[in-house]
Amino acid sequence: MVPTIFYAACAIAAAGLALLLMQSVRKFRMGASVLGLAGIAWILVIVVRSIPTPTSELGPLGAMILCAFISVASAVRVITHHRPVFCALYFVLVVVSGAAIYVLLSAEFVAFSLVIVYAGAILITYLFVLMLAQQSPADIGSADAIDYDRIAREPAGAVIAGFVLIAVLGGSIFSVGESKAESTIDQSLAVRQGWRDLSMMPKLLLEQARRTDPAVTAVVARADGQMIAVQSDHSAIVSVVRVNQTSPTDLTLAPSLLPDNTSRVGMALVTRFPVSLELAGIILLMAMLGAVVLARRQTDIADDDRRALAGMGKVLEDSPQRGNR
Amino acid sequence: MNQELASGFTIAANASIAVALAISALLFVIGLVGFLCRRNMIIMFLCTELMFQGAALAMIAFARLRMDVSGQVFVIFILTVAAAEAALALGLVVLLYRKRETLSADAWSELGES
Amino acid sequence: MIPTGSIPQAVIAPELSWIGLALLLPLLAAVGCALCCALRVKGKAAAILTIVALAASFGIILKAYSSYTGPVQVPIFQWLTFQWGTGTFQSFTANCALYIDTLTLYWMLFVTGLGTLITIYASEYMEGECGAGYSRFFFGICIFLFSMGALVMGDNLIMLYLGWEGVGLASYLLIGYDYSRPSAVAAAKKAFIMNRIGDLGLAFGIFMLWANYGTVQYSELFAAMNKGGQSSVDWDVSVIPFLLMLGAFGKSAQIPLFTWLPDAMEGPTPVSALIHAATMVTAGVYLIARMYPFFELHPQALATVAWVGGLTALLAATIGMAQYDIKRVFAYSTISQLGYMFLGLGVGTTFGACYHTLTHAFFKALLFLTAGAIMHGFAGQLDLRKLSGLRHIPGWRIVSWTMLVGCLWLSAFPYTAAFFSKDAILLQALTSVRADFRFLGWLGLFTAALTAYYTFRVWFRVCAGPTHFEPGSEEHHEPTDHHSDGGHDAKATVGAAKSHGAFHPHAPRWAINGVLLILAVGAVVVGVPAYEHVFAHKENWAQQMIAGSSAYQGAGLPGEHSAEPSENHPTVLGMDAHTGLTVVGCTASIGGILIAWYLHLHSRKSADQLRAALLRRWWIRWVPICMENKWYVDEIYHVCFRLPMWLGGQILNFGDRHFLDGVLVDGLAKIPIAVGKVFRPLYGGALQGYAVTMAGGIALVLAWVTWIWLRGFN
Repeated sequence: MVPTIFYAACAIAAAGLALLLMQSVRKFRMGASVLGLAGIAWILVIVVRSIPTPTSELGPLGAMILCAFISVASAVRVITHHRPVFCALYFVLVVVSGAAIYVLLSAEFVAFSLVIVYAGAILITYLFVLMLAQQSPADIGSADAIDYDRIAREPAGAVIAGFVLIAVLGGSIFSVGESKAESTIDQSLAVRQGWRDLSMMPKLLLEQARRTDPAVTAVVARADGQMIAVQSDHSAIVSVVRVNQTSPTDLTLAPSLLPDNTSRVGMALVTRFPVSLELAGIILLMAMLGAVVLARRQTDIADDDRRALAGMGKVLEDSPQRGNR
Repeated sequence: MNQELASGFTIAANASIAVALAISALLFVIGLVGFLCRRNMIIMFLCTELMFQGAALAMIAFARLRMDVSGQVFVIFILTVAAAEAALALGLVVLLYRKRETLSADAWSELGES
Repeated sequence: MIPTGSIPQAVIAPELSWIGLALLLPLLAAVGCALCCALRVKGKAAAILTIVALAASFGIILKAYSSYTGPVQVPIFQWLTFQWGTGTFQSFTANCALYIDTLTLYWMLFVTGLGTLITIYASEYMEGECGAGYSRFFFGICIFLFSMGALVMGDNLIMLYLGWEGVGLASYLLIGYDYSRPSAVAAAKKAFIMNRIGDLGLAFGIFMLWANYGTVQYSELFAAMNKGGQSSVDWDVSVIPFLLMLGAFGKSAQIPLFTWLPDAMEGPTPVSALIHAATMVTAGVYLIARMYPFFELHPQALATVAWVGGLTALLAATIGMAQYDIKRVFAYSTISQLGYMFLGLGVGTTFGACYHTLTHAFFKALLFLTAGAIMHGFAGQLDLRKLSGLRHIPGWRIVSWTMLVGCLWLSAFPYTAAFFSKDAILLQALTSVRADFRFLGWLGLFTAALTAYYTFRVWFRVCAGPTHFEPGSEEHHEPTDHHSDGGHDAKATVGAAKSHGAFHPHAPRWAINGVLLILAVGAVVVGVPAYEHVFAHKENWAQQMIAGSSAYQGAGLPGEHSAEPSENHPTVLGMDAHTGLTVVGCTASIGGILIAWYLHLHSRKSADQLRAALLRRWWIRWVPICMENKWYVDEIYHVCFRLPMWLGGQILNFGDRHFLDGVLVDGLAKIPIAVGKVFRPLYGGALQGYAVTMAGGIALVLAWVTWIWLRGFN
């Protein structure tokens, strides 16, 4: 039953978006916006209701839904606004609200790099190019914007194609996943993963051990060869050598000493994806070179000069006519 | 006990992740619709960035679901590719603009039969 | 050289490999001629090269003959040797090796000898072509002699086939020598295609021989025959002689494949003399003589050969009687004489056939060369109604008298060499135990009378009588075909010499005259063995040569003859066979000559009156008409073979154009075009059109996949 309702919600949202895109029904813009937002709200309600949420989590969930609304609404404005510069600025809004969602999903490092790279660099580039290429409305004498920005092409078809996609994907996920969904995530796996990451960072491990007990001079491998033994209460035990001691003794590290998000991302980058990292660097280099080559101004050479450069003689002006005779 | 855990290890509701996934799908589709509808080439590329956003958000959501940082690492790679793509695409747009003095994608339809 | 009742076994003699030079020299000369051709040599270098090479190979053959002791197999180099097992039928050997026995030497002696003489003749005859096609002509001659050598001297049937095709190629090249003339090109194509039909039979014959005996080498084949051959005669064995026969009929211009030879007269006359009279066309005789034991595998095989030969002889003679072109008359006489040879082979006298081949080679080459000399001197004139009394013109005496020699020999005038050779064939036929062979013998005698008539018809018309002539229309020869307008031949030449007062026939010089004289002498000399046999009662040299080879069974040695019981001694008209045949043969020959004398010298008008009288009577009218129109054989072939094939070709062409092309190829192409028309709007050329299509496609695929997935869960 859920897919049918979900499809209806998708259809309402799609209708709103299509109306917003259609130039001919511009006067119903307000109604169309309301319709689209209602559809999106309905979709979100269906999604949220499909999974029971503990009361303690309602706060973050509310923040998430707020960010979701800002994000989707800005995205719609990106594709419906008639002034490209405003589109780009709305896109900044999408990026910022997306970064907020990232933070809510505890991906702080990526959230901030997103803001820096996207909002700070890429979008600025877009703005520059827009300024470079865009005729101002005054130039063309139109009050609002030029035609190709104002009139969408085939909005109905595009919207149908897009929302068929989302209906299909969402319908299948949220109808099937319902019975198996759990309200919370078992994080013991994540904790074990975090402690293991820490064991691969000896300097940080020693630092964390000293933070627990300042007398620690070294962290040594345990009897079973592991550096860290994870306990069921998410704490961990390490073997340490203290000042004035010769034999190692155990030390319990509290869960709060787990490495933070940034450290773990960095660790994963250099230990698990080194080749991808190098390739990313190469891609950036190539993109830079390509941009340089593309952006070089090409001088127009007259035909005669081009022939001269190629070592060929000049073409007489009237030669085609002469050939006809 | 939750307060004792560092960020990234707090218990989160599956509902938040579901909402994030829904947003990612919506962003992707809105980007797609924009790409199909808008005629301005720069806006079209902006819409592809929107689609990138959707994909990246899905990555983050699943990284959260799996409690694995690989998803976040891949978002970094997506950022890299998006930056490279933006550089090249904008270079191309500038080049095309120089040829036709317009940003309309309709100006470039010589491949069509009519 | 005494026959032992079986084919003599060859010994391997690698030390005799110098005989291979007889093959190598013409090949080298061919390369030299090709170089002359490429370098556009203006002089006669090619002719000199060819003459030297051919004379040298004649000398080599002579030396090989003088040092001959018995059949030898001379390996030269390994050519084709495959082995895929150890059994009889699991290997294939066809090396470049020579099989030298008396038959080989016999053939090679006159092939190389006549080749040399005719090349000398051609060096003068073709001099008008110097710098143009001169070197090309001699290149063809060299290729021909190399191929003929491979055909005759080869140690196996594959080499024979190589030579067989090589002479066919040379014949094609030389008939079409003047390739700018459409008739020459058509004649060359006709000769080539008709020969291919025969060659198909030969090829299948060779396949069947290998399939039954596991070898294509003569020595092993003969060894198998000595052991009794194939005891059980199945169809696949008995079909061998008929297949080989087909090849022989094609190459030797017998019924049904004879129509190419008269057309082959389009080639230069030395070519007609060498290839289409003296040597190449005897390859069929050689093949049957060489493979003679295999022709006894089926009881009717030799009878077929005899009947085909006898009928061809008669048919060609009747056509020859009504032709006006000298070269064509001689061409039909060649077919007729080849018919005699096949008759001889068929009735069982390989000696008679081979001896007739030898004598025929000389007198027919002589006749063709005289015809060539006349053509050369009279600007291509070959119509016997437009030439007369040549023997009175100064400078033409040698031609006239040597032509007389040739005509006498061809008409088997008593006590000429050809008389004896023809006698041997007819004697064997007339004394045969089979009634049909005796009938063929009488048919042969009748044909001999016809031969004498049409031969002397030419001589009396051209060389005797009052002198007047009409030169040909062209500087180079163009044989005329006048069989349809024979009504005005009486008045045609009156005053022709006066009207062409400016024309002076240029008489032949030393090379042509010399060669003609040598050939005339040679024609006499080839009779010597027969004279020795008849007057000195010595063994006939030719008979010895044939008896010492694989054709021994039909050689008919006198020793065997005398061993026959006297009460069974056959008779002809109540007389002893030899005497009776001499009498009848003389009567036929001299009678034919006398009729020709009356009709064509004494009172030339009466010939036309006779023709008119025949045409007036409806019941006999068809005879002259059919004879003048060559019995409509070409037309019958046209209707029976060319027309159905043409129709079939048209039908296939129609099917190809409308079904294969129209329905299958174009129709299949229309399917993607139609599909493309349906989907074309999706790819309108605008960028987003493509993106819409892509997105829609993805959506469709995903919807489908999801639908299946959901259905699986519920």
